[in-house]
Amino acid sequence: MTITPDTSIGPRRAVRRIVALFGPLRWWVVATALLSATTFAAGIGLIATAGHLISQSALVDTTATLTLSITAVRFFAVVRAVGRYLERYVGHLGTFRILTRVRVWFFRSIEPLAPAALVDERSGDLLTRMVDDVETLQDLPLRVLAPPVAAVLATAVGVTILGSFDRMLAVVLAGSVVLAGAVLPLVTRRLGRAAADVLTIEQATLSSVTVESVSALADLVAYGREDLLATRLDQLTVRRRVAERRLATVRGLNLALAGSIGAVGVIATLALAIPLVTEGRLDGVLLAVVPLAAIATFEAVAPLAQGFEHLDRSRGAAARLVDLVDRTPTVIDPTAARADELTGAGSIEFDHVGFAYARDRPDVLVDASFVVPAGAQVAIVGPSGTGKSTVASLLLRFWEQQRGTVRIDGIDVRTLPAAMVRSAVAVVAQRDHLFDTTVRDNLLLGDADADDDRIWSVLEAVSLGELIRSLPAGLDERAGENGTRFSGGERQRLMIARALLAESSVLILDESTAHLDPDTEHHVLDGVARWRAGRTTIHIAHHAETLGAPDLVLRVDDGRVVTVETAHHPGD
Amino acid sequence: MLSVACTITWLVLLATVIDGVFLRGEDLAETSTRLAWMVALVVVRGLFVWTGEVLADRASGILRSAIRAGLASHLLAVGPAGLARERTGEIASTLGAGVEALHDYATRFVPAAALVVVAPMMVFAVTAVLDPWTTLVLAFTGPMLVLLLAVIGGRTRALTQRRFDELGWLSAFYLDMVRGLATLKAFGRSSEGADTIEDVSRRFGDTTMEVLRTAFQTSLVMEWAATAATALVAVEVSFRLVAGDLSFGTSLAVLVLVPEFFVPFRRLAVEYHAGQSGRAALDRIDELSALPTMVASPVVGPEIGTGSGLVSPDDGGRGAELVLDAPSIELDHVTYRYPGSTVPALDRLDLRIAPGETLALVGPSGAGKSTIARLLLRFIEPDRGSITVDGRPLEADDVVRWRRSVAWVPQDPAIIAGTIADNIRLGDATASDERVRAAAERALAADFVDQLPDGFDTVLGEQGLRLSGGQRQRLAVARAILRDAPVVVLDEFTAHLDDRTEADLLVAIGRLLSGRTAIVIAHRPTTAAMCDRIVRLDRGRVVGSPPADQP
Repeated sequence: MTITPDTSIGPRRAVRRIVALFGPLRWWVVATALLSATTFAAGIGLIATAGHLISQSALVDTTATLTLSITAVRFFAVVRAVGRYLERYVGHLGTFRILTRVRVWFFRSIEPLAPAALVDERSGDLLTRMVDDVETLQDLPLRVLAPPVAAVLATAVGVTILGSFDRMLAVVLAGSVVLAGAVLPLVTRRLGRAAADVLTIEQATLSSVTVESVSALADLVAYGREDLLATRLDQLTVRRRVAERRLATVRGLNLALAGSIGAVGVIATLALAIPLVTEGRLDGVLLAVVPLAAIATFEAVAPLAQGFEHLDRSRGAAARLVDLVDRTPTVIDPTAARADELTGAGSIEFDHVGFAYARDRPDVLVDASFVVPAGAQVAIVGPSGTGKSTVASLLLRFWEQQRGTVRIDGIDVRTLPAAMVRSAVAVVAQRDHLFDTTVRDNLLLGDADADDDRIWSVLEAVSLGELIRSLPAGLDERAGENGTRFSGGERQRLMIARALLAESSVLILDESTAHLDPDTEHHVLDGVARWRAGRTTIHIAHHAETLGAPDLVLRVDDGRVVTVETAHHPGD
Repeated sequence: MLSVACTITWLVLLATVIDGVFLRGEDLAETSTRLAWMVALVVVRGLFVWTGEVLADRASGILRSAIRAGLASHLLAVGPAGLARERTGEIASTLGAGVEALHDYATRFVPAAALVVVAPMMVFAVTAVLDPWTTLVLAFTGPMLVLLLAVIGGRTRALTQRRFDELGWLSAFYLDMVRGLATLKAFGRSSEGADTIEDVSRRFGDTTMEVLRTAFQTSLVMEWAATAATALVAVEVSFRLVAGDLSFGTSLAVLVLVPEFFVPFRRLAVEYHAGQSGRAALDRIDELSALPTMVASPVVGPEIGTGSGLVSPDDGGRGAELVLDAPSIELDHVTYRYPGSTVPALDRLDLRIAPGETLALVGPSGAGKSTIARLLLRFIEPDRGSITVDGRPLEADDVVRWRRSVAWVPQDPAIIAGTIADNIRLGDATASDERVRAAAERALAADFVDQLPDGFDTVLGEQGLRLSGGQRQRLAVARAILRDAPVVVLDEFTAHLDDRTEADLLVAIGRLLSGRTAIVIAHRPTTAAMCDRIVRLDRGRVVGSPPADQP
């Protein structure tokens, strides 16, 4: 329950939703808890019988009478060791499977929302944060759900043993267990919560400040302001340290008190048991069993000290994820999909289209009307932020316009299944992604059936053939995280190649040649024009002149398509 | 360590109390002093534990600050040129989260690791006094345990490491898929994406099972050793008790001490992950620290720090050597090769820029244009050849002083968190509001700034407003105008500008360049055209000066 801004669903309910996802896998968690409890119980048994054994030995003079105790000691020793092993094994495997389930669930759930609902207003790293949240949930089964169950069961064993001697012993043990395992963690959680919240916020600040400082390094050095770097990092540390110091104090207190409560509880049971022995109500042989069993019981309670920390973290993560997943997708597929296929000609029509990204945001497109005939080479130009890229988003049905109609091949896109529209329109967008897999696999996304010959020819079309051939692994070279193996311009060309392979009836290049030097840009645009000959290709750019001679120039300004200039006609 | 001593004493006392009551028939009153001592020990141990935590946190705070400051000043020494190849995100995450990972390492893993060495030895010493025979069991199981762990560890460490790597890989794979979701969707492949995740996880799960089984053998051995030792000691001691070789009190003390022997091992296993991630962070920090320094860059320290923390570019040293008028700049046979590259970025390059001249550099990417800019900013120094300013060698000048006479407009100017005025004042920290405004007006930035709700006090950066590319670039020009330096190095913006913004920007740049010696890395013909002279570069050499050869 750290920071969960404007969550429509409570963090508790969110965790319950996540737990419901476990399905049959929840039995893995139950098994883990039971195994864990068995292990703790065996621990109690081991030390108690061992104490009993020694006490017996002090009284007898032949080892023959000890056989039963010795066997019990051995039995508990084996159960404990095997139990611990099985518990860890089952627990980790179960967690692993549960995490897979959560990952797939989250991926499928956000698929209808992408990318409209996933574009964050502020930080571009929203996705990373969400994935971190998914990973955080792996603590849920092993560190949040299982330990309390195991602790309760193990305590029951300890309490039962002591209770069989005297009821007061059981009460004292149970009382101190509750104190150490429930009351203390609750109190420390309350004491540390404010500081923990500060740290969570600072965690986000930390990464934004360091990213910003490192990207500004050159500017700071050039302007002789190296000192600003140190100053910023210092400020960051100062705020963190206050919260950290508080947390360390609370954590220290928690650890110290948890140990002390346990120890005092043991002393108390012992002090209670002593008069019982003196009065003859408890066999002296069993005296050692009392404190030893109590000590072993507290072992099961120890993991609860950190339990709330994990619970809070899981709750925060679950709330953020569920909140996101519950958003209504901006674009809903028509329930009754039209039977009529697109002709594949690739004509586009915007008919008085009006669009804003949100109700309280200004209109990006006010009243956009234009027609792109099938097979045309088109340039869309205009100042930044005027809705050029929006044209592509509406065509792909990533967003839906509030007014007017968008048609492909004369059919209203709202009446078509989104998948059909997307197979007709390919877009190379500015925020496109290269996967951390091989060059070949990245390209095959455009056309899963493309053979190497076709891949090479598309690479030639974007002037990348020479480069890829020079790589040690050629087509099998990995692109790296976010495609970092390649330069900005090379990444753009790979994305163009991928879109060319899709052979869609409409291709939109959204400033896809921005990072190329003029010579390369010229070659790439040439290659694209040859590859796409006779099919609709739309270039979104700031400058009309880089595009040579398009059939049509659409100038977008102030949300309107103001001018439609026919530059020349094919075959001139 | 002190708290371990408390625990040991406490356990021994516990044994004597039980012994007293069980065999010597003492009652509660007789044992009460010892019970009171036990309570006192609990309190003392609690205090030790508490202060231990607090002290560890302090130490970790000091440690992280020191490491981060050291790393930051090293990065400054490496300079922008040396970092160009590294990824900003990676460096930033090492500097941020990486250093933070040392917190758990310092406060959890290191104490646990230290305890593994010390605590068992203490238990060992006490049992040696109490009962040499049991000590023999420990002397045997202790090294046996270490030995077994070493043997199994040697075999499984590689596997365990691989498992952690693979789990890390799986997370990275998932992140990659989620980031690429929009792309998958655009190609109509998103449902396949979910299947792939499931499939990869399942395939991965099968191998994980295998690895997990082996990895947990370590913990099995540890548990086994701990329980076996307890059981063994219990039986061994009881036999000797029966034989009358040993007193009950000692036997019980020994029995309760034995588990303590293994506690530190288990604690270390719990903190294993903190150790792993801490060590990984240390490796990354080492890697960054090992980056070669490119130039004698000033390190933030006493010589320029002047104690106040903020250094104004104008305070002190506006000495006679500071270049005030537009100088001539000459590059004579300059060669530069980036570390790790086989071909020189600049190859015996000769270039002369007259006082007040504006020179445009054109050519394909990789021709060496940016390298010339970096040399002039002294982010790097030439391998061979010389750069002279008004006939004086550049390297003879102090780096900081030289940079004061250069105004730099980078291709992608950075915005520092702060107000718009703060960002313009990067050019001159002491400039008055009027001068900041005047600079913004000349750079044609004042118009959009005035439209913002807080004007020049609008906060920029991650938490604040984001500017468009064109706006950022005009701010950078305003910054350079405020700098009022005799030399300008300008790397023209390649993309993301519409025609109107570009026209505005050209006017602003024209104002900036007039009367100064300037090098412009031009990407567009229009920009090159407004320069006095154009030089075409290719593969680190001048290949021609197209239209106007002479100014």
